[in-house]
Amino acid sequence: MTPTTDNTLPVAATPLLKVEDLEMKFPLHSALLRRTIGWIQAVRGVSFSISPGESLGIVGESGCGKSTLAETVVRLTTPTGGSIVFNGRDVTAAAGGDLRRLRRDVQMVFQDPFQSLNPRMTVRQLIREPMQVHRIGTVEEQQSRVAELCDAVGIDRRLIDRRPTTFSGGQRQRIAIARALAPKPKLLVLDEPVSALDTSVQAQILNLLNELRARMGISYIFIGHDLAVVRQVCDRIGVMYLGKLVELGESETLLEAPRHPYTQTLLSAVKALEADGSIDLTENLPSSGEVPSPKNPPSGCGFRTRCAYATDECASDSPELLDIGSLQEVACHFPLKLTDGSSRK
Amino acid sequence: MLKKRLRKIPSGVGAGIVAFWLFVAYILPIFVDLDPLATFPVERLSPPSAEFLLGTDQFGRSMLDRIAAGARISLEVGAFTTILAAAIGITIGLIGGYVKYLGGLLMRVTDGLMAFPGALFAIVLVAVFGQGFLQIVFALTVTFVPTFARITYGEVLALQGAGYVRNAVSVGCTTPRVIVRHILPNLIPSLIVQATFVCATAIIVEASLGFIGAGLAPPDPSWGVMVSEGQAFMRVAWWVLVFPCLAIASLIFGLCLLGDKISDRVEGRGAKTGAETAEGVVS
Amino acid sequence: MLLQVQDLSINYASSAGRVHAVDNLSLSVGEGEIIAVVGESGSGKSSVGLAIPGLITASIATISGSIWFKGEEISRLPSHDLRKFRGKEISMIFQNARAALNPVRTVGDQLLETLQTRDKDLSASRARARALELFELVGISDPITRLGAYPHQLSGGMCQRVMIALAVSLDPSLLIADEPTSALDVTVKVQILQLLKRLTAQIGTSIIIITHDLNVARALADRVAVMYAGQIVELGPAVDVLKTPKMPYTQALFQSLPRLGGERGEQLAAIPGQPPNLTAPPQGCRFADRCPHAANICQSAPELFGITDSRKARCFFPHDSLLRAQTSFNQPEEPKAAIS
Repeated sequence: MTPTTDNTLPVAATPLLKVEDLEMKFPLHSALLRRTIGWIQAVRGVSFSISPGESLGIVGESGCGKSTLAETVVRLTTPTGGSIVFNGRDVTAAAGGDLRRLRRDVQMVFQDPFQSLNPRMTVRQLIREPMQVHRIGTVEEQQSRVAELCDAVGIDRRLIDRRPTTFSGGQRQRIAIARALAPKPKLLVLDEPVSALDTSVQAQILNLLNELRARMGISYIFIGHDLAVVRQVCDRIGVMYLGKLVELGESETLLEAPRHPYTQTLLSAVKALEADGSIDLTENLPSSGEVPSPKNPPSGCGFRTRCAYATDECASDSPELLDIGSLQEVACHFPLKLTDGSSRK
Repeated sequence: MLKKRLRKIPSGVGAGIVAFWLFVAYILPIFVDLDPLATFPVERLSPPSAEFLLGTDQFGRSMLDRIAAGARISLEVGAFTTILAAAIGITIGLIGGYVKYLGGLLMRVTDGLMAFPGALFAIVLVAVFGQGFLQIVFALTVTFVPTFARITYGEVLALQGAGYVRNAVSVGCTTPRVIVRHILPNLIPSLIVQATFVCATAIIVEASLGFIGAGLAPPDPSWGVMVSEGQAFMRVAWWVLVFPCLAIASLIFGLCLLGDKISDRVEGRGAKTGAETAEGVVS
Repeated sequence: MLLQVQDLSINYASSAGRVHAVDNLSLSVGEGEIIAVVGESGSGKSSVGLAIPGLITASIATISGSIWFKGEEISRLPSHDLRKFRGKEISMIFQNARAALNPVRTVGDQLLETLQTRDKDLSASRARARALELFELVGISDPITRLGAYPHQLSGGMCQRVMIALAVSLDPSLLIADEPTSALDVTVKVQILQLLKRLTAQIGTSIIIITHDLNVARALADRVAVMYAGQIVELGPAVDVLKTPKMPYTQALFQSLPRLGGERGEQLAAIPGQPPNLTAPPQGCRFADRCPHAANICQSAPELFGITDSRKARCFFPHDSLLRAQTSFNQPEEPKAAIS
């Protein structure tokens, strides 16, 4: 029942998805002449890989590029640099038939279920469409799979011919998940799938996601901003800041002993809010301030402007994401020591 | 203020008026023998009576018969113009929205067309090709193509960013499928609203052209022609002027009302039900 | 008491019928008190926040009950007189601060205008000095430059700070904050909460914070009112209510919240089903359909019973031991078919 790391393959096995040095930048146009006057560097060299059946979380604050990363991985956009290798095939610039094959294997669930379902289609049409598009099975097989999927995600079969507008947010997200599962994908990219939902419904969806993965053995990339939520679903967590992965590691290790100052900041903010009883909010966080603009990121380490430990080296050299043992990688010149890393108060 | 009053009119009224004119134009002639061109010289300019319900005009033609026939002309000008303009405009809009390098060019061309006054174009056409139904429909179609093209283009661009369209792309839908299954169905409501207004405008322009003598030629019973002819007899025979005027006004009013109600319905469609609506209303 | 709301009911007209968004709600706020109204979407919490300063008009809703502010019944005041209260005595901040600011004017302009509307004699230089003081109060660094900034040049957290500066610029006695931190990232969220807490201490404003986030309520509020389907279902000191919730809904809501402190991968205690349709709310307890402890008596409507002097719960079985009976929440309600 509980997805644990037991059934996931070690990282060394053939990865399902391997992303290397991925880069995505958008041109900034001047208002009048539409000349390119700069670039928004949404993703600045991200590398990671996912084993079959594994669930990877990507956490970061708004504007850190996590959603762009998701869209690039499903190839809704074409990256401006780096490579994406899926199942041994390079799909970085795939087009036509190759791209369609990728889209059968990699499905996406979007953040806002009020936006992501076509209001003019019925639940049946919505869930069946991916199978039609990829010509999977006969009409009868498709219909019976629609019913199966409804059962699997907890949508009453009797409501199958209704339109999504008659469903609540949580139910819509279930429909969106069923639709994404329809072509039996190997990888599901979930872009903040519970952020638009109420707490009680959010828990339903998280439980559902865990259960589906345990049953079907598919991989997840779970994009989120809430560490507690992401941890609930993911074996490994990557923390993004200003378009870069600053830390990547096994969920529990990363949350117990963060090695990057930014991870530590995020964690202490969550813990400040989670603490039992009225807490002392006047206590300061390890770092203050806000995220710099991705139009003009600071030189060197992106976090140095907010980091309490920053030195000159951080301004001149951009730290690489390096393996520091115990399956944890961190991009920092001065990773926190394990003793003070846990940031427990 | 006026808008608020209009809101209070029950939604059936607009549809009712339009249905009434459809009935007069197409169903009535099946049961009653109507001849807009038959003259009864003895009965010239006779007031409404049991024999001629709406009176007769200066040639002794039945006003009722002429108005019914005029309804047909107005409705057909409106309908043909709308259908043709919509078909061409939507196609241009879709191509413009999907084929990037053509988009800008097509839209500039339609902008150019938009700057061109439709009535003037019709007058030129009539001057060159003579008066006739086809010339008018052609001129009006050219006038209204940009309206549909613009709306479609704008909506296509907006819908490309819509969640469900991106979802469709990520699921693996081909571009034609995305357009047919996901974009067009969601465009139709706003296009229908636009269509009712285009139809109304086309009818007005046709009537105006008739009025200034650049539309259909007498003795064709275009309402505009009838108003123009009726003017001369306004003092002695009010019915010759008043009934065609009422006909135009009521049909246009009906169409506008219908369009307004449809657009209300369309705007309300996306709204959620129950408490969510309530919270939405205030926040 | 600074504010007293009595038997407030709000019904919206909708195409599906009357929506009973808020049902007989009574609530009071003391001087300098922070009270959190917690609930999920559709619970009516936002309607309460809007009804207090009279922002729900008779054209969209029927409102009954009375609202007393500093001993005056403001719910009876004509809208002209009510306007005096807004901004000056009662001000509001919203979730999306950037949208609430005028995009084509600098934030400084907007703040100066607000200050000078109230005090017509305030000289430009004095107003500017006051504006700078306010910006410093809300923790905006480099206030002189920031006065000249347009909303789109500021981050979400900074816009919220500007909103707060605007809201407190006229020294209101009551600040109503509707999901002030929901659009913000967690590190910024903590900073804004710190700011709000500091403000009550410094200028003595009372705050009604409307939120769906239990953590925010716990971190900030002295008292919480938990709302479900248009009713307050639990009311009491924040620390107590959120530590030992009595009403099964509050308990369930808490257990459904993923926490870093909890066991990873354990089933979250999701609340089965959906909130009731408020066009035809149930006769009895509104949570009964989803409640694991519902009994026959729950078919009749429970009142907001007093449990201790300070705590109330709308439940026939408000008991701590329910909290430990966690297993009963862990039943997912959906049939699970085998699927490949």
